[in-house]
Amino acid sequence: MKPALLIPIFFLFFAIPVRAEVTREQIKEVGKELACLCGDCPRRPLDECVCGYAQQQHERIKKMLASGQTPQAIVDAYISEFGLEILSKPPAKGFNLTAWLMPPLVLLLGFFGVRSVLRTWSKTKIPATPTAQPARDDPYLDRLESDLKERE
Amino acid sequence: MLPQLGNFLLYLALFTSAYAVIAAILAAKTRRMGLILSTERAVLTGFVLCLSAMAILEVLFLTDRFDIYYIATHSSRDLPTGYKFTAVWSGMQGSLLLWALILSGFIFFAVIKTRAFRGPLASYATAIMSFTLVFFLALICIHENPFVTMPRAMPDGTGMNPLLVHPVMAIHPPMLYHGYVGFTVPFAFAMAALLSRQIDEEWIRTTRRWTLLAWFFLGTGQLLGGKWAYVVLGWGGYWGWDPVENAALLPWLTGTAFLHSVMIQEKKGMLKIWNMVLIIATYALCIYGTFLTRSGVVSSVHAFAQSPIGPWFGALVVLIVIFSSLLLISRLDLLKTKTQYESPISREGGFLLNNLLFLTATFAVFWGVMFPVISEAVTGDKITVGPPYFNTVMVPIGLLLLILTGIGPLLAWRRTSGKSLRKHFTGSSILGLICGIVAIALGVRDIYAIISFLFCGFVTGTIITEFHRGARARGSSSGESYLRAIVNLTRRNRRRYGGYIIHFGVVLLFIGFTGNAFNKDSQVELKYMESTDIGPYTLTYEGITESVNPLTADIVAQLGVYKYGQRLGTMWPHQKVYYKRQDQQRTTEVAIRSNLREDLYALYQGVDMRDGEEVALFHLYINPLVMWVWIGAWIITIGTIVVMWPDKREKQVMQMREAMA
Repeated sequence: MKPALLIPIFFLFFAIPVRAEVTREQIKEVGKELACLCGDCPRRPLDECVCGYAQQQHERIKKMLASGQTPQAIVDAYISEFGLEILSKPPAKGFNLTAWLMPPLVLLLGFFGVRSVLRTWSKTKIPATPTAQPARDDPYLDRLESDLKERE
Repeated sequence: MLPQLGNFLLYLALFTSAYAVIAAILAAKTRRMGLILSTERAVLTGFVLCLSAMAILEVLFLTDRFDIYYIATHSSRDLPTGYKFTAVWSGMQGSLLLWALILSGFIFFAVIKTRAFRGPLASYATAIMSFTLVFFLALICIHENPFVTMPRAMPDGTGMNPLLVHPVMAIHPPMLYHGYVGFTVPFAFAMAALLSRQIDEEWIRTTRRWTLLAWFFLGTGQLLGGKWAYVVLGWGGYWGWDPVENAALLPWLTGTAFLHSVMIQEKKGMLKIWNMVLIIATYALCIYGTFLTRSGVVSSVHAFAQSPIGPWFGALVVLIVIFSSLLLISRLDLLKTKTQYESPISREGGFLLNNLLFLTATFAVFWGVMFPVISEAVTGDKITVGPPYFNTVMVPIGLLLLILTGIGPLLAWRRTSGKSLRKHFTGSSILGLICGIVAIALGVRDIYAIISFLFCGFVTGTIITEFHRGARARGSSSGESYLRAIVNLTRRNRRRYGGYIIHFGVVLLFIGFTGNAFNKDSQVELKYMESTDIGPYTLTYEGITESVNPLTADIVAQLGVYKYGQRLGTMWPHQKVYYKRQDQQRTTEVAIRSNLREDLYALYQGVDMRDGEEVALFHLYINPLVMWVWIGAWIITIGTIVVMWPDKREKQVMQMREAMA
């Protein structure tokens, strides 16, 4: 081989894409999207789980990342293999969106409920506490409060 | 002979308790003193019988009676004596008996405490509590009898579940049971108030301490469970949003809402219906928690507690909800109150917001626990609702509750003026802001963590302000020294200032929770005398030692801990192999170096070969601020003791009522 031919080959060597080593943070980034399905753990996210099954999955994710797959592609591959159950949280689409919407909705409805109760109460014009018996420590509390008021 | 005697005592307890139900109902209806006294004696007998049955089971465990199926499957000869004692509640049959014993004890003490005002309220309450005891005893006698013997004794037992061989697990289940059972008392008195139409605040005053006790046990039981998970399960955390953890959290959340909400009823006569709803929900959720643990409806780390009796608990939840709802509806007219209200910026408004947030939190957790079942029923797809869901949903609610912990107690009844708000909150707000700014200056960038530190500072400020104002006022009127004034202030008003101490404990819990945002971990493979860095620490692997004990073979790894080149000490994370078990089950014992700033947490995961050389595998964590969770738990304990400490004036009132009765 002519030595001149070696020059472009030498430069081609640099053109080969070199992947940096996969870091633990990258594995955790993918792992936190996935649940451990070993059957013993309470479906902990893979990035936190320390069981043997989770360790195997960490290795697998590491290999997939090293082969150039994107985190989303890895998650998609897991979904196609295990179904939606592999996700550590419900996907925010379709019926599963209700998992996310219901708590704030309940808070909102509760807020309006409380507001409506308060409005009803504010319309009632009668002396307060007709049925309540005074708490046993009231005299002291009253004295304390009046002491505090005097000082203010 | 002993197993047969234990069995006989259980059946006797069942019949005595069934008699107590009938006698108590008749006593409530006829008000005949003879029946009332007969009920009381039946309750006492039931307690003594349950206690005797439990004592017999303990003796059988301690004497290795492997002709009894329950003992043969939950103990072994080599189990240390202390664990033989606690192994009694390591399985379904024994834990149900423990539950029945605690319940019979609670009923007995509730009857003793209410002898001052015998009448329909106390009688109906006794009937309802005894009915619950009948349910448990019937389950034990029919389905889960711990005294069932085998035709031939086994030479040795299969042993206790290795995960439960831990000091914390000896007290975690009894604590939780005290919590679950404890809520039976306020529930029973609430239903008794409806049945007897005594719809005043009597049932609340009677059960205030029981409620607080149940709340405390349930909360402490959960924290102990968290401690166990932290040191045994080895994943570096103390709360995993496991369905069964959540099941215990649910009644604690509604119970906390109830504890706050009843204050409005006591002070203002308001929210009578709402308080009934809260205590019904709390009790139903207690049984629902048991149903979840036993039924296997959702997967959980508590799968070892599964049993065919799950549907029975499901049925009991349905029965409780239907019975109490119908009863409540039938008494709505009696519960309606007319109340004057002026402004949302008032103590009433604060309590309502508090209740709304606690109920939203309850719903969010309930929804998260049940959603996999619901989703599968609707879509056919199995899904997972894991910690990321709960953290996303619950952290904002938790932070809102935290800030309310500071604001609520300082609001005045009916209306709080702008001037008062400024006066009460200026100093605390400044302290909160300082905490937030310091957090940012120290490099905290997580928005929730910054908000949490800010709120923690604010709430601490409000608590300090309250103590300071009280002590100053008391000191100026009585001439007491500042410290003496604080002590006397608390002694004279235990509910109020004990409550502040509990709130301060909650602040410390939140500081600990916030530390989760900064957790670091690393998985390493170390050759002999090789080192690795995590945070400011350097850990050197210094070899492995193995030892064989009667119960386990221990493989102990040694890690030298250095900080800035200086040796701090040694950590010994290890694995225990239960070599006598067929499955050769392994458990991990993590090594933890704790200080107020952080925990250095090491998990040993075994050895492997790399390039012909042996390497030890470790999972290392730095968990900041965890210590504050346990300190917070102790502060809450102190606060609860302060609130519950007997009050001379209350005693005098009780004595007067007793004399009148």
